[in-house]
Amino acid sequence: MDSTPKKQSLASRLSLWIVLSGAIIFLIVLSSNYILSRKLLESYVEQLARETAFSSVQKVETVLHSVATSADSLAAVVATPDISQQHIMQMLQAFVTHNEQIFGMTVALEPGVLPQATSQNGFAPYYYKTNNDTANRHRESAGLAYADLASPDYDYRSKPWYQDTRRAGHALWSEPYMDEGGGNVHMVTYSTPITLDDGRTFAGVATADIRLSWLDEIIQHSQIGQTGYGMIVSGNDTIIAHPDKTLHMKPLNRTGISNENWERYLHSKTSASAEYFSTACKLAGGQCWVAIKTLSNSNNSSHWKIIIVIPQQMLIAKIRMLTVKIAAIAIAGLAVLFLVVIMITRRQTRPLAELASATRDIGAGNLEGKLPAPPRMDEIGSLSNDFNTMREALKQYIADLQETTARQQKLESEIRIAHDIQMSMIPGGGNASIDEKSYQLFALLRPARSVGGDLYYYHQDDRHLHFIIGDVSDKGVPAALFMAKAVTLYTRALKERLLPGETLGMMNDILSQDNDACMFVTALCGRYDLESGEILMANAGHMDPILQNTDGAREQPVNGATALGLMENIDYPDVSFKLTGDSMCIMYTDGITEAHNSLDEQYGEERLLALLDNCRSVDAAQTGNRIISDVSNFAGSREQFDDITLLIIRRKDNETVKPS
Amino acid sequence: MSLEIVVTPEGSVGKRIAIAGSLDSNTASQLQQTVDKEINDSTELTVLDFKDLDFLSSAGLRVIFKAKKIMDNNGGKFLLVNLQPQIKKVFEIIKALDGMNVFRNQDEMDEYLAAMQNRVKEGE
Repeated sequence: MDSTPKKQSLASRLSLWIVLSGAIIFLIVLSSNYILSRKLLESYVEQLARETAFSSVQKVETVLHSVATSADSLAAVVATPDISQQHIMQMLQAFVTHNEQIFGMTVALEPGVLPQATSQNGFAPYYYKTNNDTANRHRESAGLAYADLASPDYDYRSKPWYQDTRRAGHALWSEPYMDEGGGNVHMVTYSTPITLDDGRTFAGVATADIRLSWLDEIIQHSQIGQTGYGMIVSGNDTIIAHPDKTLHMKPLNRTGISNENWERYLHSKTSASAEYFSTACKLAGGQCWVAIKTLSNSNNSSHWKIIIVIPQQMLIAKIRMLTVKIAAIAIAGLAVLFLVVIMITRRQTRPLAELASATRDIGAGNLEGKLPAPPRMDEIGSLSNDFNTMREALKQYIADLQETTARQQKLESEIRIAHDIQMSMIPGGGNASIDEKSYQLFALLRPARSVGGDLYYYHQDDRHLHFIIGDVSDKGVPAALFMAKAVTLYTRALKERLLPGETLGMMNDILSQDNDACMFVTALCGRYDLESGEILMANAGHMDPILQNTDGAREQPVNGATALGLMENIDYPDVSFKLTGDSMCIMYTDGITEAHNSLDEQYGEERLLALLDNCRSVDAAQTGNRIISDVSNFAGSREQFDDITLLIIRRKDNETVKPS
Repeated sequence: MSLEIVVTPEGSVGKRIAIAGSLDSNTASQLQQTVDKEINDSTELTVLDFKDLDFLSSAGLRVIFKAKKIMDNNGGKFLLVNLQPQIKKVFEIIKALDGMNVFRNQDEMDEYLAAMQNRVKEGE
């Protein structure tokens, strides 16, 4: 097998399949890993968001609670009649100084109810911190400022914080507002009513202000990852704390979080438990997880909410990054696997490639080429060994074949020489055509193999033409040897001038002696009288000759005896018949009548007679050639069945036949 | 064409060799081998059955003559039976039927064999 263009190495095919299945497995692992880690991370994020919301709420509530407690306790103390104005102002200073979250406090008394507020203007001292920098507040550096709200141009009793608290009869948290007088910061105020011991008589309002900037600190602490953040909104959905300070005091819908799940949001307004859901999030350009927790301060009046927002994109980006890393490792691993498989299969199949090349060598006739040494005693090793054995056997076989061929060639050359010798033993070398004054003779011997058992002979002396045609049983070399013996005997008979019958008798006696192989010769032996045209003929088991004259062709019976060589002491009678002018005597062997065609039919005597019927007034050579070509046409592709011999003697009528 | 040879016992001491097909120079050696194997000095009777033989060439004749010679030499009988016309003609052409025990069919041969046995018994 030579290298066809479609040749594909086993190594690359194997590696391709292995890597392909590896890739499929990796893909399945990777995608399930992606899904699982995303789920895991989602639940983790949800928990984180909830917890962050809860803890932020707790922090805020703690502060608010402490501020409210401060104002409440102040209100309770003020209601006792023996507290002087001086005491109240000292307490206010102490509360503002020691309460980190409180920006300012006031006690505004209703005139004429408590002894401390006897004047017409009432009593409303206000203490507040002067240092606005909430981030760097220090108790020591925080200076206090005083403002008397009871001045006639302020008229605290007409302010909403005073009026609302009085009307409500219980503590209130104000909505966030910009404190224009106190320092231009956003604040909320807790106002609680001061009542007398009876619990019903309104005596004034105590307030505590908180700047909203401290909420930002809590919001900073509630930041999650890089993009997750928290915010605080007031009861009427105003943003009071947000990482983006420009959004302060802006409505909630400015944050970019769409209210797709508004019902959940609304529900969270009335629920103390945290709501968690995912919703569209314009800010991050995709989905967000949102956790909302409503403050549940004891006064139940602030309704602030902590909102924790975590864009999904952040998490997905992280998972994607993880997946990409894993995929990169997997691809690198697959590449290594590919190389390793190629290396292993190359190493394993190298002996096969070498064997293949050795096979090509052997195919090209080179049996001496070096064979690869079997690497291991595995299947390939055993194939190598078998291959070697086969090559040795092939070598031996070819050597034998060469010897046989040489012997055969020698034999063939011997047979060729034998053929030449055999043909030289008969006149004309196997193909004779004679045109004499009174007769024409045509003789042809064509062995089926190189040598054959057919024979003919003729010899002309003063008065007669002596002739014989014979057919030794079988063909080939044994027949050729027997034929040589017969021809030799015939030439001896010619010398002894024996008649045809005597000739056959003599030949038979000698051929029969010690003839254990039972070879035999059928023969027609004759003598043609040149003057009279009379033929004297004896028959030893041969087919009768055919006589052709102007009337047509017919068999000329020549009764004889057994073929030569089978038993001794046989008399062969001489039979006499005459050739008239232009008539022919045709003698042949069974190679003609028993020629077979492809249908296994025989040529037969009828065809021969019919052909000769159409060959009248044609000379001997032409007749002979016609018979031969007709027989070979009949046989077609079938090889010559038996030796063919033809002997034709034609008497010339000098008046009608012109020499050709 | 090929040659088929079937050898069966003939009586107690004989062999019947039935040949079918074509006995020519290509197949004669087959019959030769059979003859060499089956016929020896102790064979008293050999019957050559030509019933299904279609063609006979001189090469085949030679083997038949050789078998006959063996049988003649050890005093046995060599019989030919069931010769078809074209086979018989081959024998006739070479004038080889003289001295041969040829039977047209089985009945003729059985008759001949029965007569032979009677003669032997009478002789006793």
